[in-house]
Amino acid sequence: MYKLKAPAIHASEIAGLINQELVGNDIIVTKPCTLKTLSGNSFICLLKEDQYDIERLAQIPELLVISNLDFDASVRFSYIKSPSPKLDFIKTVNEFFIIWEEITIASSAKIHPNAKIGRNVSIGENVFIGPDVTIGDNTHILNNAVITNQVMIGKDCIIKHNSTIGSEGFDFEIDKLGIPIHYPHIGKIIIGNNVWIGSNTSVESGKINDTIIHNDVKIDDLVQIGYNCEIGERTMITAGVIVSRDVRIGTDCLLAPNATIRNNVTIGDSVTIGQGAVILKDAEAHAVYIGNPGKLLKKNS
Amino acid sequence: MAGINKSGVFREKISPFLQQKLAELKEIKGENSEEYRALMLQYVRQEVEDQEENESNKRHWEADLVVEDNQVPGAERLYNKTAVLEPTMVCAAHCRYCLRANYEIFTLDEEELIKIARFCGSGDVGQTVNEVLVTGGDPLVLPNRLNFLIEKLIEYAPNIRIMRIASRLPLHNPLRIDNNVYEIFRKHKDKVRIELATQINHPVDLFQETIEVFKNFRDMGIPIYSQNVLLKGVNDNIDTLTSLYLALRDIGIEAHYLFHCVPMRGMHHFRTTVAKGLRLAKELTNGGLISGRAKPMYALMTDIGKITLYDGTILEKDEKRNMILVQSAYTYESRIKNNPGWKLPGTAEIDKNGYLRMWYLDGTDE
Repeated sequence: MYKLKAPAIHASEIAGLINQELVGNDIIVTKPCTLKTLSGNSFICLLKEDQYDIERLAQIPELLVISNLDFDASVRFSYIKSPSPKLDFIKTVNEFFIIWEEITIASSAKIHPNAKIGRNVSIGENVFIGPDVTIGDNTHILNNAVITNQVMIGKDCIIKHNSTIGSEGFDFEIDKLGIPIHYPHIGKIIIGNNVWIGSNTSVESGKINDTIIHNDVKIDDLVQIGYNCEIGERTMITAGVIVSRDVRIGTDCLLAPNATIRNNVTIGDSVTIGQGAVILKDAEAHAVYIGNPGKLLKKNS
Repeated sequence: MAGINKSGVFREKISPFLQQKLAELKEIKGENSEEYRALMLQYVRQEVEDQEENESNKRHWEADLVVEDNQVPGAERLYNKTAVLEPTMVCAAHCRYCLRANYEIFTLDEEELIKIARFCGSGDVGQTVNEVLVTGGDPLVLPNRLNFLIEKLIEYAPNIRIMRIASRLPLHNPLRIDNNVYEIFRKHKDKVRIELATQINHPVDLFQETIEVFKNFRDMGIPIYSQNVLLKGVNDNIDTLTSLYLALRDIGIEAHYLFHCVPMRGMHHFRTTVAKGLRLAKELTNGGLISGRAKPMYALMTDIGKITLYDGTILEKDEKRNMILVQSAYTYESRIKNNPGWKLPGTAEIDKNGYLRMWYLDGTDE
């Protein structure tokens, strides 16, 4: 999605962007770096918890440090003190060092003429978009994504490679002869603004009710979101998580890798689910759950 | 279009591109050459900037708007149809005669930009303003912020049909005008009219890399115009001005204002008399030297707004104070209507017909 570029910019431009004061010389920087890749004319994010050698930093010519640490004024590098150095580092990289992909619709993409596509939507190779799909402005659909059935995607979203939005739900009733009969899924998928759907992630259509993913939700690669789920704003779901059908997840939650949420479970706001946890019962808000079966580890104030 | 740091210093800041061009000009043309001096004087800090002179203003005017009950920096309005927005005060280089040299450097966050966009689409502004000048700072230095602001203006202020993006980045560092920047213009230009405003003061500013950038914008169908400043030692002679406006015409850049250098702190050494500027403007525009399509409007950037000099604009001169009284057609009522927080500057007065006039500090020709 991104390509790195190497402009030569003044450190004061970074200070101006993040509204903080530059201490030291207004050096020229051309690239971001880490403690492992320290080099001249670069800038680094340094956190209190990082193991660093200040003498080593001082040996790097033309180094800019963005940090929440207090440095002695005599240090030999330039620095910007920031209460949120990681965030400011990301802002800096995004603003100065990234080239956006051009907004294009690939010729191999198949977009139904009845689909409603917003302004400045980018659509990658081999993407399929069905007739009942609406996509908001500035959303990027990456290669091979499939968006079908009734789907509404908001503005400024990223739908990554190979993801499927509008997968038919896995729901069968056994008839008299013991044959599984599929329950047709005729509900919608409603995805808000600024949502991230990872590669190879699948989101199932609602059965009769809708599957809803609210604004600013971020879903990693290889995640399953079952039908009729509702995921609250700003919740983050990391790789390998399985969210079964009819699950309600509150706002501001974090689901660590490979967690599994049983069907019909409700998870409150601001809940953290640990790695590999298997949540079988409702989880109360502002708490941390771990283990299999999932248990309350602690409540957050 | 940049500002002071928190220590109150308007630092010398010369982009790597300009540093290289200065070094090349010095070597090839010599440090006393017109070309080198024209570029050097625009960017290299001079000791004379620190001298106490009559030019003591730190701001060229006060026109900040109150947005949603907050004094949000970055939104100004003086005129009926146009608002000025400043998403960032960051620039790639510091022009030594910058209007906003003494403004604090800041960048608006996304929440503030949304507030401003909503403001532009609501109330009296939403009813009357149809154009914004996006300046700063240099909005092209932070393309993400500029793009976000344009998106939000389109969303919240459909009354804004024209957006002027003011930038000297094509001169300061044309190598930074990449696809991210072009894409902003490309993807929005069918929704609103987007124009590129720039400032080119001497033909030496037009390096090949810079010309290429302007051609790229022009080929995209983006109108480009230049509002220039009369600067002593840089372009205050008819030959330079003629070459400059011929070059702009050749590239396809429209001439807008030719400003007399604004009376602000640190700029005394750049300021000719208004009369000299008038003589040059007359020679430039009435002497058959340049195309009629290349003629600039000679104007003053006064405490009450821009005043183009026509017959009768200058009412009198106070030789003792070196000030001239200039007549505008602005009225106090319209100012208050456009910006309820606006205050009549101490240099201004209201004439018997209700129009504003003001005492403007002249420059010198020594």
